Amino acid sequence: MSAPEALLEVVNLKVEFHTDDGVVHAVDGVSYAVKPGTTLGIVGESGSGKSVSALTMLGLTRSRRTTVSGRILFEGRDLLTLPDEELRQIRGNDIAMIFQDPLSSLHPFYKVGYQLMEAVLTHRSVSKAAARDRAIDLLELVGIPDPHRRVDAYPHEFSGGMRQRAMIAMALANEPKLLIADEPTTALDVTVQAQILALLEDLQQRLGMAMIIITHDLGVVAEVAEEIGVMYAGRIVEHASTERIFSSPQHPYTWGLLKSIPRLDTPRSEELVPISGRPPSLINRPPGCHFHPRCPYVREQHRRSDPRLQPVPGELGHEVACLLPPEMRKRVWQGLQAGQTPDELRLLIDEKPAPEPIAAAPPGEEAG
Amino acid sequence: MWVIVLLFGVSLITFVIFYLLPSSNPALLRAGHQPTAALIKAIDHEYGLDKPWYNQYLDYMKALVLHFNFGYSFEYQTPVRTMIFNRLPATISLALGAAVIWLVSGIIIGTISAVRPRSRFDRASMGLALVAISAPPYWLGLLTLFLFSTSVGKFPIFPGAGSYVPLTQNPVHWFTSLILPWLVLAASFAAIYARLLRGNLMEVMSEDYIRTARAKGVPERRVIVRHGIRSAITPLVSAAGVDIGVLLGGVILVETVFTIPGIGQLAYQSILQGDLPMIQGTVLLGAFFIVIMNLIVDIGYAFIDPRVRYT
Repeated sequence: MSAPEALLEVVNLKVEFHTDDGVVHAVDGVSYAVKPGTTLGIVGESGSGKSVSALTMLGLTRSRRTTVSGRILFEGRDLLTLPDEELRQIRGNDIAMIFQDPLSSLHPFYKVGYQLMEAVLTHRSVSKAAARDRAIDLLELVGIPDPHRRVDAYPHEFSGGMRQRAMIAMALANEPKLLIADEPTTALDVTVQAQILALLEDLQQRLGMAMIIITHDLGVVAEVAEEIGVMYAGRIVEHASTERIFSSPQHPYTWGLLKSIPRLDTPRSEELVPISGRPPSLINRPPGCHFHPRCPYVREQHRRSDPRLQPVPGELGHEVACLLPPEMRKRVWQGLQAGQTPDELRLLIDEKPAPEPIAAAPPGEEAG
Repeated sequence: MWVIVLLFGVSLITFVIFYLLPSSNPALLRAGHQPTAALIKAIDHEYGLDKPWYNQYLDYMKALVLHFNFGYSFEYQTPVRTMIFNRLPATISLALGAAVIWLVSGIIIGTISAVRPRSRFDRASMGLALVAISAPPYWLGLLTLFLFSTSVGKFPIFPGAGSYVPLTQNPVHWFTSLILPWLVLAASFAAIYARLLRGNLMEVMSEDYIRTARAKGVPERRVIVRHGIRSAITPLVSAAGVDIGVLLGGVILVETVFTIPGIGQLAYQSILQGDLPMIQGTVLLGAFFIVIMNLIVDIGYAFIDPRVRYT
């Protein structure tokens, strides 16, 4: 994964929060890379560590009670060891971020234009008039009608979709090389979601920036991302091109995500299959494979050994952290696509003799 | 409009309290050592105290509304209006100075505490704040006089009681004489505001828009001041309007302890002397200030929070 031409390279990132209840292993050995001008989708449930890894990149999780290890290389510089002031100059300038709820993410007491100007003036020494012109241009760029008037409006006078457009405009103020979008459409109406995604895709092509889209919804990244990393309990459990994730997913968690999306090309009578159970506690994580308490295909030995991210045989650039043998995974996925339930397929696995574990690493050892 | 109604109500209630509750008889107080019934009656008649109270009230109101006349002091035989205006500068000096100290120190201490929670500074200042809130102003006043006044103090640093001179006479002396009263009057308010701001700011600093400001690369100092305090201070503004009224109560005690010739001392003396027109005048003035401050706060609030502007 460590391509030299990568704009951003995250290597074995670990983030731990020390709380009164214990140590929260929010991100546990995550690695990925983003090439200039491409889009990476990071998919996972709430609490899977997907936002924390992005916030850590910008130094926004720095605190006395946070331990961070690993490397985050941006254009060759390690953001984790960068002094606060140097990192601040990268934030909003080379790397920008937009957030889930645009209403609470904009300051309620300042005009939208002022907040845009602040983004410009923070990193560039231009006059206020020039910054204001830039703010108007940015509002126009993200498709806000009548930007000359809207620049003087307050966030509460905007609609939800317009607020997110304003947030995007703010992020683009200094033409970042990387835009991190953390659940950019979650707080929006479905019709507006599509508009915002189309806008992001269009802007990416026009400005040539790289993007990381963080979402719990595979449908959001399906159109936009070239690559997808699926996160579970602070780790990447599957990583592949978007095409591969949808055509031959390897991890039971990814299957669960895919099967819980309603599709137009399947009969209406087919029921959605929810993923049972709840995300695990990140303080006391389940032993062995962290997904095993919720995995329909769990075997006794999965409760003890911890899978690492391994290449999928015959599929270049596709990695998965699963203890099921590859041919078994293929058969289960085919079964799921044919409309069989996980319970039926579970029997299929139990008939077979217990296979040798393909790879197992004791917990705590470096993964992937 | 409701301001006028409110002030009428306040004056009426003061009047009623004075008449219905047992208080010193103004005529008796002024009749000398051997009062005769006839003398008391004559004094009552001279002050108009022999009329029914509602007639007295109507007379008072007529003079006030038509001629802006607050009546004559029983004690000093001078117009109440003149006496109040003469004493106003001292009280305004005291109240404004205290308000500046209270807001500035409250905001600074509250901000540092919020930004560094659980630090030594935070623990020390919040402990001190608790003491300042709990201490009654007159006790604090006497304590500071005992410790720091040049007259009786253990560490004679500041001029003590009775050293007040008007600003126009000697600005330096005016300033030094007010340092202790200012600090005493501001102490509890500064403590309350420091705690209030600390709580608000800690909450605000975990808001999404603070994260947005940081993600923009805004320097941390600016994040705290422009984005954090800007929001956290809003509830303080509305609290300040109410507290101006409490401040006036504090003014009475502090002016008495430090013998500053202001409105508070005047009010205190006029109560002791059963000087109804003077009591009425000071109460109305106090009510007027509270009403005006609330009006200013309401307008200021709309200025601070754009979301209330259009409703």
